[in-house]
Amino acid sequence: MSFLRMEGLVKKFGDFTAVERVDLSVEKGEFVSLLGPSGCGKTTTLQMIAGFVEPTEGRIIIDGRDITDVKANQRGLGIVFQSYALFPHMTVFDNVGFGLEMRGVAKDERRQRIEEALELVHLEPFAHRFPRELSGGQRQRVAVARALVIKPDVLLLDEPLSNLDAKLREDMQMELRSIQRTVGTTTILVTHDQTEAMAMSDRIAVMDQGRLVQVGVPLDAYEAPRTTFVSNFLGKTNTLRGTVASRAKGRMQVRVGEGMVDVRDVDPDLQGAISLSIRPEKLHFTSPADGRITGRVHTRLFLGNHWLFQVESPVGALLVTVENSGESVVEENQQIGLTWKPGEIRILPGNAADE
Amino acid sequence: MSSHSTAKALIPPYLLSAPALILYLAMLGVPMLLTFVLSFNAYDFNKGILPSYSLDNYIEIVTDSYFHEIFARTFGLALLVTVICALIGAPEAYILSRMRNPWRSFFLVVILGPLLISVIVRTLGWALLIGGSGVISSTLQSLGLIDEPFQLMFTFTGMTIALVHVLVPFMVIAVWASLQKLDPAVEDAGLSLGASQFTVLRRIVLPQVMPGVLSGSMIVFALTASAFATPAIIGGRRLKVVATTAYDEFLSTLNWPLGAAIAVVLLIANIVIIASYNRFIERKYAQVFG
Repeated sequence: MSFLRMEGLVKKFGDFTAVERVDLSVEKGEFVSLLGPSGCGKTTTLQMIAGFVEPTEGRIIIDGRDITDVKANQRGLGIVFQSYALFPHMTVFDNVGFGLEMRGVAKDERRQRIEEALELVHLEPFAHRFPRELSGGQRQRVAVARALVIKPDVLLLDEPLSNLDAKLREDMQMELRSIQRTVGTTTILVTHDQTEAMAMSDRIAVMDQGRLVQVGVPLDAYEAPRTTFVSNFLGKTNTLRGTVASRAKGRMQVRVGEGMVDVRDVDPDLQGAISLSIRPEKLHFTSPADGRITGRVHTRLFLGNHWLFQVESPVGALLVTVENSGESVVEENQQIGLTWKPGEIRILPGNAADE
Repeated sequence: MSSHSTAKALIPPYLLSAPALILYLAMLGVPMLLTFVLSFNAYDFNKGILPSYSLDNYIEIVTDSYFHEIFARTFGLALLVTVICALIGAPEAYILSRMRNPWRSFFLVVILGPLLISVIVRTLGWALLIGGSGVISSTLQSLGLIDEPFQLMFTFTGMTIALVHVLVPFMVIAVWASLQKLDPAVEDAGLSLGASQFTVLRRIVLPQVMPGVLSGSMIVFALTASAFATPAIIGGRRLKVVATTAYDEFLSTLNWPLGAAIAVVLLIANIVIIASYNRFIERKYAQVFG
């Protein structure tokens, strides 16, 4: 029996359906991310778990207890807000202690638990500062300590890193993940940042237009996206829209733009319009004669750890990334061939993919 | 050379601000200075203002229990009105901030309404309502709820009500301003940590809007302590405050020097109270809110 379950969660605001039938089960100690673009319903889902928004339909169950009708202040969840929402008129120490005070924890025990929580986030020396005397990253840690000190059943993180700069964000990702491992609290992260979600989570749940479109281990979702939306959202991808031209001996010829792509015939049900999707790092340069398709390098960008190429080809513009091995690979305007390993191209039904 | 050109460059700004400066000095600075000088003149009931100077007027104010009572009444009234305005205005601003348009705009206009009406008209309106033969009294009488006419005119209560009515908008505006700076998520954060709605208001919202309440209090206090029209109409001669006393010294008794001295004492008392209060607030909140 899973620890946190959402069963058929629906939220409507007037005529607008923000969340449409979300079913999700989370195991105890698991770290799951709700990932999607803004307006996909991920934040509304989080707010329903937190108790700030009442679901129109559906149930939320934590540890076998139905909390759908329990008030937010009785749910015992830890929440880290996007703005951190620290209490500006209280010191770090009092901020962290507030939840314990509300639970009537005795003063001595409170002090001890606050100190433990501050130690966990490496903020012991800042206990007596006010929030405005701290940096963004430090405030973030206070918010985490404040949420964890009450030993919540579930920790909810609402875009917790979006206010930090890129460098700090990476550090905090690692740190949050290691804190979560240490305390073992079941965690739900809401984010629109796919790298963040993939880096931190045990599983990701991709949402689009109020629905869960794919739930899975980050690697699986990245390698085997179920729709073009997922494949586009989880990192860069080349989507080629085409039609099945002919098939023979387990192979399929797909017409894309002015060119033809030869792929494995994976599913005889695929007819008419389909989409091919391949990630930029799965495309490799060869000589024009050896390529499955040929093209010309239009632009080349050097990004430090890798090169990013835009290639013009009969099937359309393609993005290609090549790891930087210390030397230049191909030049701009060079005629090249492109190839890929069998099975690295994903074939998705054309119409279903656009949903 | 450079100092010469700097001096030259400064002339146009001075010239430009001169009209306002001259107006300010002529209309406010000079009369105040004259009042201050006047307050040291001696006065004789038969001969009028005498050209000699002394501290007699101030000594009279400090020693005569008649003035003690008036000053005590004035600052007591100011304190009471301030407290009531805070008690009404702070929740009012909070409720208003939680409303949505168009109701919010509508109620904001309703709250600011008293400021749009002339103080005399508004106060006379109160007189019609709360007088012995006023609307409230006669309604209550005709309903048989009271036997005697209900009189709030010429009472401390009546003065307090009328002043609270006109000064509450200042409190609402001050608290409103500090509510705008409040992150709405902090209330959710409080709830998520197990606090009740009431505890969230008391422990999280109130402390953050306290600077607004305190600065609103400063405005309300100063305006009440120096209020003239409302105490003059509702309090009348029976319940004098400092401002009406100074007025009477000038226009009824014709003892201008004493009236001037009363005005100066009121001004100084007001400045001292407000300045020390301001210092207290700044010290208290410097570290927290910067």
